[in-house]
Formats: sequence, C-alpha cells, structure tokens
Amino acid sequence: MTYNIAISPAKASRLYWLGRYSERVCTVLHMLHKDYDEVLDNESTNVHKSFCTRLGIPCEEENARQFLKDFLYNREKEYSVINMLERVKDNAILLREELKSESLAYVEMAINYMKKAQEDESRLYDLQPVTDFLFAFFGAIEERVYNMEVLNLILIGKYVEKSDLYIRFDYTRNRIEEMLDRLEYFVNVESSLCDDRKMSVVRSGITEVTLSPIVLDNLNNIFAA
Amino acid sequence: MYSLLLKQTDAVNRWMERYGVRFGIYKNGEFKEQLFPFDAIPRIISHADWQKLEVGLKQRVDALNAFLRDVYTEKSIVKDGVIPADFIYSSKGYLPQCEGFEPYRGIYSHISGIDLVQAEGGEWYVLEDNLRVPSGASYPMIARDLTRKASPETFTDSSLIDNRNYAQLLRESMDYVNVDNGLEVILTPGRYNSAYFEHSYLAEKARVVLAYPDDLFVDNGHVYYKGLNNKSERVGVIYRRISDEYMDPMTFEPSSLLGVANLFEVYRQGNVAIVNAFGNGVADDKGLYYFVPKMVEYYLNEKPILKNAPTYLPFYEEDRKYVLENLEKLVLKDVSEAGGYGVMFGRDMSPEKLKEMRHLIETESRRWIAQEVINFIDLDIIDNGEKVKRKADLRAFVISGEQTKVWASGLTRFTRDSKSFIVNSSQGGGFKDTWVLDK
Amino acid sequence: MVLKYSHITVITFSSPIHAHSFSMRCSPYQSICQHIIEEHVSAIPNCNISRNTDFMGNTVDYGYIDDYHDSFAFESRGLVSVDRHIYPGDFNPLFLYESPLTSPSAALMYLAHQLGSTTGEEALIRKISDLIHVHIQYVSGSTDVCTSAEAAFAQGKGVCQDFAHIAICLCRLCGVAARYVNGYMLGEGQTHAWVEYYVADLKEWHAFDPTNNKAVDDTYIKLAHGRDYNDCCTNHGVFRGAGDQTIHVSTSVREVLRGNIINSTI
Repeated sequence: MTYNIAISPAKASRLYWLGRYSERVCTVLHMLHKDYDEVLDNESTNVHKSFCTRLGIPCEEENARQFLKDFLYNREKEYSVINMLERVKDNAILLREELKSESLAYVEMAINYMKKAQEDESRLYDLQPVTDFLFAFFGAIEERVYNMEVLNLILIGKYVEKSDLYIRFDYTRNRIEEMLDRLEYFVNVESSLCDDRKMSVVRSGITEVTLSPIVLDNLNNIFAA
Repeated sequence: MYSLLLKQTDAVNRWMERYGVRFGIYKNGEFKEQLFPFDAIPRIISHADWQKLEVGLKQRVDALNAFLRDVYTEKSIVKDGVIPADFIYSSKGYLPQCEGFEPYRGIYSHISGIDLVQAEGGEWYVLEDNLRVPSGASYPMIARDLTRKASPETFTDSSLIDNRNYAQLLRESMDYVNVDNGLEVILTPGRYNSAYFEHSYLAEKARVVLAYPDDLFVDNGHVYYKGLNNKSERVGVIYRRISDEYMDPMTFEPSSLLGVANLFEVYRQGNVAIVNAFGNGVADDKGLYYFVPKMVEYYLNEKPILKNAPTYLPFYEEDRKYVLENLEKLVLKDVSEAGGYGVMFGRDMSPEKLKEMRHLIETESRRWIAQEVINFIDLDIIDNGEKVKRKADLRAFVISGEQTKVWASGLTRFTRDSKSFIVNSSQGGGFKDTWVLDK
Repeated sequence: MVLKYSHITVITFSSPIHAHSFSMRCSPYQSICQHIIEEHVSAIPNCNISRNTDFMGNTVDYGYIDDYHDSFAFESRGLVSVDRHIYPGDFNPLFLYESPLTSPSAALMYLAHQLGSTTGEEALIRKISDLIHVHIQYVSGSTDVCTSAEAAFAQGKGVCQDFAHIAICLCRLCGVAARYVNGYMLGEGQTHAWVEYYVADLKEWHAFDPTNNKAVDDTYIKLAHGRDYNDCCTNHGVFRGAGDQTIHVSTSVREVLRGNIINSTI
C-alpha cells in the first residue's frame, strides 16, 4: 500500500499550531510549578502579576490563588490551560489521518483528565498526568507519523513556542540559543516548505550583549505566515 | 462465546472514551458531539445465514448498478415497461445532468449500505438501499479493534471472520477507479458534519488524503489538491462525503460553499472518478425500492435472493385501494424523506390523522409507499446492568470494484427506547459489533 | 445565412478577488443546423480555458484564475453558417416535466385548459404565443434571471426569458415537450431566448420565438438549450473575496453572407 504525501496550506497551519499549543501547555505548567512554591510561601505575593506580564496576558485577579484557578480552568479566559488544551484538540482532531487514532487518544486523555480536574478543583500538583499524556503524544506521533514533513511542521511549531517562552521567561542566552538551533535544524530540513531565510531574520535581533524584544516579535510574526 | 467479553465491558468503554468514538448531532441549532453508545453483546450471524446474505447482497447491488447505468443511458427498463417513466423523472434523486455519460469503469455505487432486518421466522428483509453516501462502517471497525484490545481471548476462541479489512476493501475500490493513478482523497465537508469522525478515521486507515472543499480546485480539465508553495497534485479519485447537490456550485446548488467549482465538468470528461457517482439517488429512492427485485430479474435474469418488506405503491390503483383500506396496520413512508424521518405507523395515527393521510395518499399517490409491519427479531442489550430486548437492524456494506464484495461485518444499530421502532443514530440509537461465523 | 458574432462579458470587482472559477455557455451549439466556420474564445487575465459538452449537448468553456484580480473579461467570437433551426431527435420525456423556473400556477393551468383542444404542435405554439401577448407586456428590466414563469405571468410583465418560460410551461401542460433556448439574434445587442417544441410525427424539434411572435429563422444563432434558463446560463462564476461585482455584456451579430454554406465548404 502506497500513501499520499500532499500537505495543503490549511493543513500546514493546523500542524504548526498543534505543535505550538501542545508545547505551550507543557511549558506553562512547568513554569507555574516553579512559581507556585512562592505563592504557597506568601499569600500576598504578586508573583502572578509578573507571570502574566511575561506571558503578555491581562491580569484581572488580585489574588494569586484565584489567578491560578482561573488560569487553569476558567473557560471564559481565552488563555486558560483548559482552553489551550481545547485548541490542541481542535487542531489534532482535524489531523487524525496523519497523527493516527492511537496518538490522538493521548490528547483525548489529556483533555478528559483536565475536565475531571476542573470538576474536582484539583491542585496544580495533581495535573502532572496532563503533561505526561502530552509527552506520550509527542512520543506517539514520532513513532506513528510516516510523513516526515508532517512531523517536522509540528516540531517547528513546538520549537517556535519553546523559544518564545524561553525568551519571555528570561532564560539564559545559552538555553535560548540552543532552542533556536533546534528550530533552525527543522527549518533547514523543511526548507522547501518553510523559507529558511526566516531564521536569519529571527537571529538578526540577537546581538553580543542584549536580546532585543524584536527577536520575540520576529519569531511570532514570521512563522505565523 | 462472548461471556469473556461481557466481563470486560468497562474496559471496552474505557477504550471507547480514550479513542473518542463520537458522532455529531445538532440540538437546538448547536453542534454537539456525543459518544455513540456501544453495547458489548454482539449480533451473531450464522455461517449459513451469511452465505445466503452475501450472495443476495452482491446480486442486489449488481442489479442496482446495472439499473443506474441503464437509467442514465439507454433506459431500456423504462422502454420495456418494467418501471413507469414517472418514477424516474419525478424522483428527487434523478439528476438529468448525468444523462448520456457512464462513469469510469461503469461503477455507480462503489460503496453501498443495505439496511436489513431479520424477521421472527429467521428470514432477512431489505428495508432500504443506501447508494449515495452510506455512513457507519467506521463504528464496527473501531469496535472490533477495541473489543479485541479489551478481551483478546474472546477472539482467539471464536470462529468468526476477521472484519479488519474494510479499509483495504475501500482502498481497492478507490484504486480500481483511480484515473491515471492520481491522488486519492476523501472529501469531507468539515468537522461539523455528523460523520466527521468516520471521514478522518477512514482516511487514516485507508491511507488517503483527507481533503476539505478549499483544498481542491479545477483547472485545465483536471482536479488538483492545493499543496504548499503552489505544489499541486492531480486528483484521480474523490471519495466524497458531501451530497450531490452541494458538490459543484456551477452545476447544482449555486450557493454551496462545500463544493468544488467545475468538478462536474471534469467528472463528465472522465478525468476524475467520484465515489459514489453522481445521480445514485434515483436508485435508492423509497419509491424505486419497490422495483429492486424486478431489477434483479430484468438485468441479471435471476430470481431475487433477498426479499423486500411487502410494499405497496399507492401509485397503482390496486395497491392504493389496499393501502386505504388497511392503513391502520401498515407503515407509511414519505419517499422524499431520509434518515428515519417521514416514517409513520398507521396504528399510532389518530382518526383525524388517518383521514388526512388517506386524503394525501389519494391526491399525492406518487409521494408514498406503504409496507407491512415486520416483526423483527429483537436483540439483547445491557441496559443499566440488565439484559433487555430491543429493536435492531443491520447495515451491510457492499463494495464494488473489480469484483463486488460484501464486508463480513456491518453496523448493527438498536433503539435505546423500548417503544421505538426507528434505529437511526441521528435519533438516539446505539450500536453493536456484528459477528459473522466462518463455520 | 452566414453570421459573424461576438459576445464580450466584462466583470469588474470593487475589490480584488481570487480563486476564481468560471463557466460560460456563449459559444454556438454544435449541430447540423449550425456549421461553425471559425470560432475563438479568450479570457483576461490569461488562463487555461477548457471545453466540455454538457448533458444537453451544449458547449461549456470553463477555467480557473488563482491570482488576485479586479476585473475579468471573456470573449467568444466567430463565424457560423446557420440553416433552418430544425433538430432531429428522439422524444425525451424530461422536457415534459416541470422544472424550477417553469412550474405552473393555477392561472397557467387554467390557460392551458383552454388550449386543450388545439391539434398540431405548430398551431399550439402559435396560439400560446398569441395568448402570451394578450397577458404579458414586454418591459425590459421588469424581471431578473431568477424569475419563474409563474411570477412573470402573475405580474403581467416580462422579458424574452419570461416569454419563453411561460410558453414552455404551457406546451408541457398541453402534453407537448418543450425546451428553453438561449442564443444571439441578428440586430440584437444582447442574448435572446426562445423555445423549441417537439413535433412527434416528424421526430424533430422546431423553434419558435414567442417574444417576437414568429418562427425562428436563420438570423438566430443557438447557443444552448435546456429545461429552463438555469441549464443555459451564459455566465457562472465562483470566487473568493468580498466586494460587489458589475457585469457588462455586449453582443453583436452581423450578416456576412445570405444563404448557407453547410454543403459547399465541406
């Protein structure tokens, strides 16, 4: 049995955003864990405000605990983790034939777990399985997707997101460069689908001493096209 | 045979949830996805029954394909007086645009869904032929896959025919009609179609491209799939899951956004195959159903193996008289409605309703068919932990390619409501696996 | 008669559109009654033009323009030698059934009832045409391409398309198969519509122009026929983009030679 390999622009866009949203859920949960200790230590902390500023989202909650609840479970908030998971599913469900049902099942499980956690008002610490399911999802697609272009487009989305968040959360230059190197690798592999000149534009914002905000803007604007 | 499996019902349900086996429905104008309730007790079809069904189904579908070929070309069945011209020309499914053209390799119905019921005497009856876009094959496919995961022992002990070949049968049929080895696609209207799960699942399993209307365009006499960076690929066969009237705004419904403009021209030029062909609605019209056994005799010169439910056409005076006199015990169907709608039982009608229907039967006789109510064999299901009997039917899938093949499986749907006779999934039914014994 | 024709459709869009598919039925119908000496179709922006014959035997020119553009032009021109419009053919019951634009109203059924006793198809069509002229006034712009026979009849006004639809409806009600014809006419600056009715004894389709209340002669060029206007539409388009479109159509038909050259040139 031979298989077909065509990818339409609409499909390419779904693959890219699938990569971005699934990575965003994993990394944001990770960042929350790091900051959450501080919330527990000090009720009146404003740590959630700086968290929002970094992510570029509005912060309407005065209280860190309330913020955490909203950020995880509030469906009214566009940026909540549960809504981001819905975006993962929205894209994934339209890609079943590429990702395979077995891989999709992990997204299904992540979202089912999250819905259950929402009902039970589970604590952040109990959400580890969401990350586990998404990691299993990444493993499953690597194993089951036979069209490398499909896989690479997801990974481009994943590493754009990861670079974006590393920049926002002031990771060290080295860590950011490492992530951009990975992104560049996949962009070069798929140079027929994705213009590899994009990377030099992104990197042009990195100078010896500073990482200008333009890097972040370029990263997002260039790959959105 | 299935006692081991029943013990694993919870495991089966967990797998179903994990795989998101759903179908979409519209409630109060809003799209919702719900799990398609699965009952773990399989329908078991004996080997002897299956042998008869298999031959009968092939025969029926071959005759229906021959009819479609004839009706859009020579029309000899009309000329020879077997079917009145009126039943063709006033059928909603008849598309004059298909006149004088035979699709690639002469196949009209590549995938046919034939709905059957088993009566209390054991005899199978055909209730309806679905030759346009019959859906449902994905559910028994995934059900078998998941029940095997939940209880592998059941399947090593049972002597049933492996049904995990549907995607292969589908692919063979698509390969057979693929024009010049082009790209093979399943065309879906999108996520908000009730059968979207099936579209994407079949694309995955048959390893073909799942295309959305915007992905395809017609240029230079061919259909193309729009790839990234203007790399377009020529399409050789489209398994479309969109009805005829929405497929090409240039030829059919001009306001359709689901179609591919000028697709019909390419199809008529023989440059792309459409699975199933355009215009099949004329053969699965409820009014034409009455004539299917006659088609078997006319085209194949054979005795029909499968029976129709005893049917009356008020169009014929003798039948009209019978229907008017016996309406209370008959089931009346509006030929223009589909999917379990427009089906009325005489015994449920009030005296006013009976009067109204009698009037309609007299004034619009072509619009109705009437059938004797068949007492189906009810099947066991588990409802809240208890075994109860429910009405059920069987949709058998027949795939036509180089040969006509019957999938040794099918979609068994049952009513969840004990009073209901209508098993359509859009009206809240559930489904079962269908086991065909090989000895 | 040998006629030189030209038909130009120009569509302008208020903002650029793309992914534009078009389908045109403005080239002469191929038949023994019309010998096409020369013909040419072209489009701007430049694109592939494919040709097909539809289920009625009409010529369809279709194509696709992917890039953004704010105007579209299509020209069909050529030389055609026209004989009498008499088309041999088998009876086709399809033309006895109503179609969306020719379904009858009670008023039309009543009219048909009065015509019931007429014998002979030609006598019938002449009577129908006379009757239409009693009930319908020709007023340009009074209807559009979606107007049905029923609606035009009810308002008592119409254009050639409506005259044809009403005539077809009445023919069918009287048991005579009839079809809609779209075409050009000598001296007309736009497309014209008439009818063909089936003469059972001769197994021929004959043509009649109810608008001008006369038989169709060799000054008419037939483009397409069908159950009603919908089967013969000269121009269909589907595209992506917002904005309004303005369509301008110009037709010219000139006489080049009297008599016809069907036999002398082949």
